[in-house]
Amino acid sequence: MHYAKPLARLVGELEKLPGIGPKSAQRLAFHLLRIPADEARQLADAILQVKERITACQVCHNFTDQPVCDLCRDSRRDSAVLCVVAEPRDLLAMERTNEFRGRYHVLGGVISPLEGIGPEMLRIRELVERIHKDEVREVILATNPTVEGDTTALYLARLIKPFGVRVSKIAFGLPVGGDLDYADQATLIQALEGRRDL
Amino acid sequence: MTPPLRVYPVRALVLRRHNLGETDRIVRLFTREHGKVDAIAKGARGPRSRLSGATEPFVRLRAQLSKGQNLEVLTQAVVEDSYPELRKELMRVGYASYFLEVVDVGLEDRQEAPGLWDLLSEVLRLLERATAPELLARAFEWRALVEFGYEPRLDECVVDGAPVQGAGIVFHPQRGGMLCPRCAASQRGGIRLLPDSVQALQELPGLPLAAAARASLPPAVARQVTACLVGSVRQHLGADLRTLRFLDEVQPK
Repeated sequence: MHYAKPLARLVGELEKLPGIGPKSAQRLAFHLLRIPADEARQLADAILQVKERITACQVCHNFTDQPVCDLCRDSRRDSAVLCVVAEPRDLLAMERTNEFRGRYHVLGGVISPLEGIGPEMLRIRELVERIHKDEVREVILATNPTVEGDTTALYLARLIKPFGVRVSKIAFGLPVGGDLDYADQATLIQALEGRRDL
Repeated sequence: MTPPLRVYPVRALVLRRHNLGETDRIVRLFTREHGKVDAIAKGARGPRSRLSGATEPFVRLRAQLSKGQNLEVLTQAVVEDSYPELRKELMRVGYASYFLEVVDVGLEDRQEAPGLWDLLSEVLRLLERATAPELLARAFEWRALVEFGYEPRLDECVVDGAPVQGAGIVFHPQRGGMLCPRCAASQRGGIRLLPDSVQALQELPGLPLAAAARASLPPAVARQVTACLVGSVRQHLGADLRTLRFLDEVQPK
């Protein structure tokens, strides 16, 4: 492709982003060319600010611009109930419910035997330390309903239960507004196993 | 087998998958008809996608593949068995992952292996109910090695052809089987076997999978049989299998 050098560089950089192919990179680059210089500068500045100021919370390992994040500093939240998630985006999904008033722990991934990701590569040691230090009563495992998510939950349950802590896993089953006819066997089995009295 | 049509049906086991873009997945399928095939499952990560549950590892499918430019496209999939019990126990997840990795590493793309497909599908079914899956894993390894064409010799010495039984026998994964005491003396390495381990190894080829799923060996014999079979798998697949590290980690100590 015959781009001018700075444009070729921008397209090349955009292509490195997840989900961005050559066509999308070109579209974004031409869009950036058209916007006012101020807007482009704000975007560049926002990217740099994120890189310079965002770190992992020292307590829960969520993304934050302070040593300890707002959620961990909020004294109204119950520190005896800990919700364990794989990634910061899962924490955001849980927070969007406005239902959970405990605290979080971000593992930084999930155990995957097939990809060679073992428990030692996740923040499990830190989780165990928190359980002891904060006198945690319940750990809620909120991992994805995938083989890796289930494996991580099984591993953590086996590790944590001997501490005398209640370990629960969020329920899995049919999505709200879903259709039984469209559900696969594995989802229906989980939905049946997780049924509740009415 | 004749080249597949533009759209063709397969029976498949999902070996692994990874995410692509926002909502797609690439799945590595082990099909009974065409061996290992990578296919794109469009939208499979969406919560209401019909393909989301069908693109998880261990799942057995009836699927429709469509020929794409680079990858096949998984257009339809009906789950025949998701082996749900495998995901409820750590050791079972570990062994199931190991079986998938052995097949994935041992097969070339599109290498047809219907015997191995039947074996994997059966061993996953038995693993769901197995309480101590170690001997089932050894029986799987033996059969998989035979399917790959690496059958270790168990009844006679790999060097001089002498019959092997009793004491002083060595199993040598690099040499591809048993060594009699005389030949073992001039070879370095290998596993010096207990007479019961020699017998257990020699009985393994005739042991039905269902019986292997219910039985277990005395600990010392089990350790040796495991070392022989896992050593042979490592030797012939020439790979450091990731799932073995996981199995080691979650094994009750």
